[in-house]
Amino acid sequence: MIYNQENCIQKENQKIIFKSTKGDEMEKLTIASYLMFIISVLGIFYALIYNPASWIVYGISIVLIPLFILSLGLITMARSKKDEQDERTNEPFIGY
Amino acid sequence: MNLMATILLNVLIAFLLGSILFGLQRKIMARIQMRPGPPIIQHLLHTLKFFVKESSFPRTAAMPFYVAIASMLCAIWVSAVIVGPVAQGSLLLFFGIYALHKIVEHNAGSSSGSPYGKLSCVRAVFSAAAEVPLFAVLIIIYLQTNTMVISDIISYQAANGPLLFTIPLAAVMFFVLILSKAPYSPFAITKGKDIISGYETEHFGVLRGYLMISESIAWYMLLWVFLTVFFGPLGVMGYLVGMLALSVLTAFINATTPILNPNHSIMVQVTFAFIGIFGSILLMLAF
Repeated sequence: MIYNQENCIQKENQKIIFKSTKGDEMEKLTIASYLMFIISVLGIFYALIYNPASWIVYGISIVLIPLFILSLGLITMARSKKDEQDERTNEPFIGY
Repeated sequence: MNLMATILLNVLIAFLLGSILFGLQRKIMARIQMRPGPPIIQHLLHTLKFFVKESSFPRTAAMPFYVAIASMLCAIWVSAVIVGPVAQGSLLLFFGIYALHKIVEHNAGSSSGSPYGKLSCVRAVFSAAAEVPLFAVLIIIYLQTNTMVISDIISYQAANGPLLFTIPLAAVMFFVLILSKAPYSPFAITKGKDIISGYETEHFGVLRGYLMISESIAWYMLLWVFLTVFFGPLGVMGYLVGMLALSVLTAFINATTPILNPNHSIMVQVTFAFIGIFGSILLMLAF
């Protein structure tokens, strides 16, 4: 993480902590996952229904089957509750 | 059948059968160690479990490369399914796929930012020495059959008998390659327990499940290529029996041998390669 004013909060005693950005990142990830899922499903259905040239089917298979599996996983994976999200990002200082 | 449907079906079969065979290996290894062991479907259950678990993405991970490299592993083994059972294309493509697998192991380890991943990344470079026996196998097959195309090799064996009997040392070298990809094998230096899980250490949840899916497909494909290239035209039962036999054999070897240290692992594989190459050439000249 880069130290800058956007993601740091400087307290009175000069302790710097990171702002929790996990919520925004998860939202972006969810949107991206749904987009990838729709694109991969559409591509696979196109290849199934229209039966294009072999090289097109091979290209669709090599790119879109892995994308489909990844996007399905990202959509179905469990997510932490909102009140627990901060716990996941800000670890307590436990000393060395 | 529609080409896309054929590909999807073959990928699904590769994943399911590969997972079951991994589970069978674990069961056999456990029984040798006088433990009951997990059920045979355990590897499949673990894959599905990881797929729906809450995932963490390490702060030190090089995003989006860290996710893309897991996708690349799946993509290359889906390509292997296309080159193998679907199109019966060239073995040289399979060699390229195996080389890419090494690159993926390397980059998956380095992209996570974990020291264990980095150690695995370096060991993946070492283990590229396993490419030497694979390349030797391809050359010997070409010298024997004058072709690299899987469908032509199958036709050659239908006319002249299995290559297992004409170039047995090449089969042994390919078997060593398969062994290097089996879990807990003496040559599994990239995922040895001394480095926790190697390049997979910092791949959690969805990404771990994703890697396990790809590895199941990879295992199925390695066995499929071995059986097709050295035994010739086989039916569904032939492939099933062959894959079971190979998985059982690797399980016995893995249960009774230690994981070698990286240098010894490479030297043993390279030694096998040299014996295999010179022995095969001598056999071909003699007969």
